[in-house]
This record gives sequence, structure tokens and C-alpha cells, in this order.
Amino acid sequence: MPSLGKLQRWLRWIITDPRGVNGALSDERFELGTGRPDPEPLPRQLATVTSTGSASAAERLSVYASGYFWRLFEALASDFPAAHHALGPAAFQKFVAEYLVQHPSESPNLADLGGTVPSFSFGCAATQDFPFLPDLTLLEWNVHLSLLSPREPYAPPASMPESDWSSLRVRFDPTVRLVITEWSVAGFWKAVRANRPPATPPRRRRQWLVVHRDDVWVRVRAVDRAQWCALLRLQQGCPLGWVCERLADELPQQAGPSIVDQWFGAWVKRGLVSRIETSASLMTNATL
Amino acid sequence: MATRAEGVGIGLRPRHYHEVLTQRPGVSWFEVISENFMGRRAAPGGRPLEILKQVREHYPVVLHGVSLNIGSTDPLRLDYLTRLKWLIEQVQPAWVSDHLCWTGVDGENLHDLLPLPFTELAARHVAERVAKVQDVLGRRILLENVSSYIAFEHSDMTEWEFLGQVAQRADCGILLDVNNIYVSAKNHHFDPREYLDKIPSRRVGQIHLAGHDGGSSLLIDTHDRPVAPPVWELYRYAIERLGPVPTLIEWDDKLPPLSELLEEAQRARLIQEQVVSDGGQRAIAG
Repeated sequence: MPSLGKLQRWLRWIITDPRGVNGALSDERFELGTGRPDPEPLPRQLATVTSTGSASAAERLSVYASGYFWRLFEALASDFPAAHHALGPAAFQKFVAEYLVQHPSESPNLADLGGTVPSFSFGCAATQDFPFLPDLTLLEWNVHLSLLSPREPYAPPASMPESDWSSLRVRFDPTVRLVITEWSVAGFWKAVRANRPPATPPRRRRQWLVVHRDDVWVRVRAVDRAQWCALLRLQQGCPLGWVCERLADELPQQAGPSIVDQWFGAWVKRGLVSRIETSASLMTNATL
Repeated sequence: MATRAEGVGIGLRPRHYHEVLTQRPGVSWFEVISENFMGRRAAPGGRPLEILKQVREHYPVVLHGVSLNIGSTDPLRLDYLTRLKWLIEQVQPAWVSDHLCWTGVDGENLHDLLPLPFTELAARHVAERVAKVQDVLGRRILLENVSSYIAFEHSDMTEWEFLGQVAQRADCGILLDVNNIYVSAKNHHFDPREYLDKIPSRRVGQIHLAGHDGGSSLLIDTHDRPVAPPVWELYRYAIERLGPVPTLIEWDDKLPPLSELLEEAQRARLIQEQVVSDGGQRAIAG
């Protein structure tokens, strides 16, 4: 009689083997879960599973093996719908199978399963045919994170001494995520989400993207480089005055202060800004 | 905000969020998959929890987990239990449940409800862990019997004896899935009525009903279709024996319109009412 731990390791190995149950059972090279040469042939282990009536032990185990793959496939297809669409069912299935071998789930929550999909995409076989795949999965993972992040309650406006202006720090809503891509994946992602199959794949063109969630759903907007950099610096905690000075150096002279006002107004309107922090207090952006 | 959950509930699924929030259908309570509302490690909550809190303002809610991994030989995950406890505080559920199974080992999660050997050793192992979970959560939980497709040669008791022993030792409740009993009974050739006769009835706090696929040599618990006629018959028998236990219509894949779920719930409600008006728990009385 195997110990409970040994039995569970053996079942885990059989169920997750990408060759399927029969492939796993025919392989006698490994001991249970240890990767060492097998001193105990696997058929002896199989005897622990009852084979009765109309189904053999292998058929019974196949129910779990099939369920394992398709459950995780569906979770990834749900979190990466545009990548699923771009690759098509067969290539995405292969992509998932390869991913699960290298990155089996270690979280109780299926929502965490795709966390390493963007980095995996960089080196995977599918990227040879779909070079935009790393960027697309990076965007989709950030959309997923934005969806699952809590929004911060909107604090009412308060007054603020004008002398504090340059030292202000902007706190963005936790759903705000800044993404830079080398391929124009935002339009592709939006088309898939709107159930309008994109006619062409993304082109090679850098995009500076802002991902955030409002009361309804997750939004993705492409902005210009200057605005994206300003957002990034503010998100990293740089004081507003310092960010404006940097912008003045980088933008044409006439654009400087007025464009910051415009941007700030738009960020507030879209709910990107959660609050303004001064050395003395927290205030809402509305006072600006 | 009502907390007690009685009668018949349905599962809350994203496809029905809008309809539930705008039309407030006449359903007694909702059950949700706990993990779907915990958010991620670094950022608890998110849009799903916002929706759930809105639903919770109008309905009792029950938390049903799928990743407690209570039968595993891995240590219990305190990070998971901490997040579950946080969710419990947010939602104030009528009760909390998970499955009598294991879902992973050596830190790997297979996200499936995998069966245990029905042995004295395994029962003791699980019961000790349930007691710890209940200590951490500060409340009793319910454990659900799972559908199974394999059994183990070295099991030395029946499934109902195993479930009863765990519940007794850990002093936890039982979530009795009548469809799972039917599926496992067909797959392993036992009498489902004997299961219902022998289960410690006073520990049963909830019943699940769901659809299964009978198209192959094994019945598969799919949750993607209406409850099958023989499961409705078994449910009637269960209510006769156990009384009008709160019951859930569980439907996870190929979700139908909300109206179809509500019809299934109404059917369960009618069975409860008929059994009660017929004199209730005949099996026990007999």
C-alpha cells in the first residue's frame, strides 16, 4: 500500500504528463516524481487504482488527465483571448501545453496561472510565427491585473496651499498600469474584445499604453511618449514639480504648462488619479 | 442584509451578473466560488468582489471553495486561509464549504477535485487538517463529497463511512452533492440510496444538484446541463430522509439563460414542499 504522499505524487505525474496517461504509464524511466531511474515498474503502481466494470484503470485516469489540461487551457484562453484568437485553437493549444510543462500552477487561484505567460512568450516556438505574441500577452496580462485590482475610493476635494504645488505627489488608482509595446497590439486587442475579428495582425510600431479600470470595465488607451513618461514618473513617486521641469526640457517650449493641465484634467476625468499627496495631507485632484 | 440561507439557491456566474443586479430575480440565495473573489495575492478584491458586494446587499451568499486542498500531504497554505478569512469578513456568508479531496501536491495545484483512498489513516489526516482550518477561520465549514472516476484497492471503508468519519472527527458539516453520489455510484457500482441512508444526517447542511454527462463508459460530472431525471429521484429520496436542506442548483459550463436556472431551482423547491406536505422525513420515521 503506497503512502498517501506517494500516491498523490504518482497521480500528479500521470495526470499532468503531456503525452497523456498511456504515454506516462509506458515510461518506466522515472520514479514517482523524483526524476530518478525507476526501481519499481509503474504497472505495480497502477494496481492501486481499481479497474472494474466497463472502464479500465487507464481510461479512468484519462478523465482526470483530460480534465486537467482543458481546465487550465480554458483559464488561459479566458485571460488571453486575443492571443488565443491570433494563434488559433491548434497553435494556442500547443502553446498552453508547452507553458504548463514549464510553469505548472503553484497558486490556489487560477487567476494567477498566466502570470509568467508574457515572459514565456519571448522564448516560445509560437513567437517565431507570431512575433507580436510577447507584446500581446503582456498587454492582456496587464488588463487582467487591472480587472482584479481594487479601485480606491474617491476622496472629496480639499483646499491646498499654493506653495505646496511643486512638491505634490500623485497617487494613481491601483488599477492603472503602464505598458510599452513594440507592436501595435492595442487595436488588435480591442477588436477581439468587441467581437470584431481583426483583419490584419498587429504591425511593428511602438505603443505607449495606459491600462485602467473604470466603473464599467478595463480601458486601454494609447498616448504619446511624453505623456506616458510623465505618468510613469508620477507613478514612481516623483514630485509633480520635478516632472513638469523634465517635460519643459523635453517638449517644445510653447507646449509645456498648458499640456500638463490638459493631461491632468483628462486623467482626473477618467478616474486614473486617486488622490494627491502633500507633505501635510492627502487631497483630491479636483482642487487643481 | 440577510445572512441566513434557506430554500433553494443558484450559483452566481459572470454571465448573469447584470441580470441579477438589475432584475433581482426571486432566488433565495447565491453560492459563489470563493477563489474567484479573492483577487490576486498582491491585490485582494477587484471587479468581481465589487459585483459580489452589490449582490450581497440584496441576497444571502454562500462561499464554496475549490482549492483548500484539504486531503493533500502538503502543509495547509496559511496565505490561502488568510485570504479566505478576509473574504469571509467582506461577504459575511451564511456558511463556507470546500471539497473532501486533494487538489495538488509538492506545491503544484492541478485545479481538480482528486479522490482520496478511503482509509483510516487518510480520514485521520483530513480530520486533523479540517480542525486546523476551522480554528484559523473561526467557524465550522462544510465538506462536499466529490464525483470520482477512480477508486483505490487499499480503501478499507465505503465513501459514506469515510465522509462520516471525517465529519465526526473534525466536527464539521457535510455538503451533500446528490449528483456526485449518483455519478460515483454508477462509476463504482454501489447503491446511492445506501449512501443517503448511512450518512450522518444531522451534519448535512447543504445539498448540491447538477447535471452530468452519461455519454461514455463512465458518468462525468460536467455541470453543463440540467439535472438528470434519476438525480431528481435521488434528491427526493434525500429530502425525505434529511428534510428540506438548503439546496443549490450548480451550473458552471455552457450556462443557460438565468430563467432556466430559476426553473431548475423552482423544481427543487417544489420537491421540498411536496415532501414536507407528505409528512417529511419518512425514511427516518420508518
